[in-house]
Amino acid sequence: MSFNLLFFIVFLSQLLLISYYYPKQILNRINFVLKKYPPDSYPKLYPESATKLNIGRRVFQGLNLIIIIIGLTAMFSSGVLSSDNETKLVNIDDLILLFGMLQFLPFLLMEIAGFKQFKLMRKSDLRTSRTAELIPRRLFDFVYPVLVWTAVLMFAGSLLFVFYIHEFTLTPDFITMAISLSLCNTLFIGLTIFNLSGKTLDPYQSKKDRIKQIEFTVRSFVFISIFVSIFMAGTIAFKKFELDQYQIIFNSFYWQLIAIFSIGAMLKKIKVEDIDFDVYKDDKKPG
Amino acid sequence: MEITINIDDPVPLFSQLVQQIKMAVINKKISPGDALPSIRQLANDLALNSKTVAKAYRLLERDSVIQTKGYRGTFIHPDAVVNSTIDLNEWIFTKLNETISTLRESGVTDSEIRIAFNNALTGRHNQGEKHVI
Repeated sequence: MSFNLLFFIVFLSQLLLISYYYPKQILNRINFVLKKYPPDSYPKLYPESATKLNIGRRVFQGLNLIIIIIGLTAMFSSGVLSSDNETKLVNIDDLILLFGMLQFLPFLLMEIAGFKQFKLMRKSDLRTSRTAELIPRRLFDFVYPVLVWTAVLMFAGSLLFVFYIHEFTLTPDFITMAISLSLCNTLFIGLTIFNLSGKTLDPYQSKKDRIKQIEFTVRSFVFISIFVSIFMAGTIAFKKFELDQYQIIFNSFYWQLIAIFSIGAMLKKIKVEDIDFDVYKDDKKPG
Repeated sequence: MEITINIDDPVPLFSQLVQQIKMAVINKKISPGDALPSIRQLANDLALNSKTVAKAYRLLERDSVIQTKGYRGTFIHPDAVVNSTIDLNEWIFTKLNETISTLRESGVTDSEIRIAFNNALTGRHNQGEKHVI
C-alpha cells in the first residue's frame, strides 16, 4: 500500500468521523428531543423559540457539509491518490492540523449557543426556592486517581522526553512545547474546577444528570490532556528524527482520538433516553 | 442530604442556611465528621453570593457546629449535635432580660438603658475597648 493511499484512508476517516458521523448523531439527538419533548409541553427547555433552534440546527448541518466539501476538494486537488508525489504530502502536515481545528468549529459554535441557551434559562427561572446538596464534589469522586496521575506523568514525561531528544538544551521547540502544554493543562484544571464547584449552567437539570455530566466532562479533560502530551512529544520527535511524512497521519489520528474521547464519549455516556426531561415540563399544566 | 432556601422569605439567607444545617445535624441527616461543600460550591449551587455562605459558615463555626480543617475542607464538628440545640438568640434574650430587670430594679430608666446599651455596642463609653456580644 502506497503511503498516499494510507494517508487517503486515514484522512477520509477523519473527515467522515468528525464532520459526518458525529454531526449526524447530534442532529438525530436534537430531532429526537424536539419530537419527544416539544416546546408546548416542555417550555423550560426552550427559552428561545423552536424556530431559532431550527436555524441553529441548519447552520450546524451546513457548516459540516461545507467542511466535507473543502476536505474532499483539498484531498483530490492535492493529488493524494497518485503514487508519485509523496514529497508533496510532507508539507501539508500543518494543513491537516488546521483542518482538524476547522472541523471542530461547528461543535465550538454549538457549545457557545448552548451557553447562551443556559443563560436565558437562568434568566427566565423565576422560582424563589433553591436547593443544593450538602455533599462536597471532589475530583476523585468523578475520576479514578490513577487516570489523573497518568495525565500528570504524561505531562512530565513528554517534557522530559523532548528535553532529552534535544540533548538537555533549552531549544525554542522545547520552550514552545512547555508553554503550550502548561497553558493547555491550566485550561483543563480551570474548567474542571468550574465543573466541580462553579455556577450551575442549567438551573433545572436534575442532580443525577448533573453528576453524570460532571463525570463525563472531567474524564474527557483527563483523557484529552494525556493525548495532548503524547501529541506534542510525538510532533517534536517526528521532526527531530526526520519522519515528517508520518506526521500527517499522526496529526489525523490525533484529531480522531480527540473526537472519540470528547464527542463520541458524550454520545455514548450521556444517552438522551436517560436524561430526566420532566424537570423542563410546564408547572402550570397538569400531569 | 439537600437544603432548600427561599429568597422571598423574610428570614435572612445566611440565617436560613445556619438553621437548615443545624436542623440537618439534629435530625441526624448529617453526622459529626461529615464533609460539607466548599463555600464556592454551595454559593454557586444556590445561586447566592459567596459572602452569604461564608457568613453562615462563620456563624456555624463560632457555634462549634462545623470546623474548618485548612485545605482539607469544612466538616461537621464532633459536638455538633449538642451545639446545634443551643439557641443563641434565646440565650441573648434571656441574658438581656435579666440585666434590664436588674437595672430597672435599681431605678434606671428605659431611656438611660437604651443610651447605655447603644454606647456599649458602639464602644463609646470606654474608648479603645471593644465589647463583643
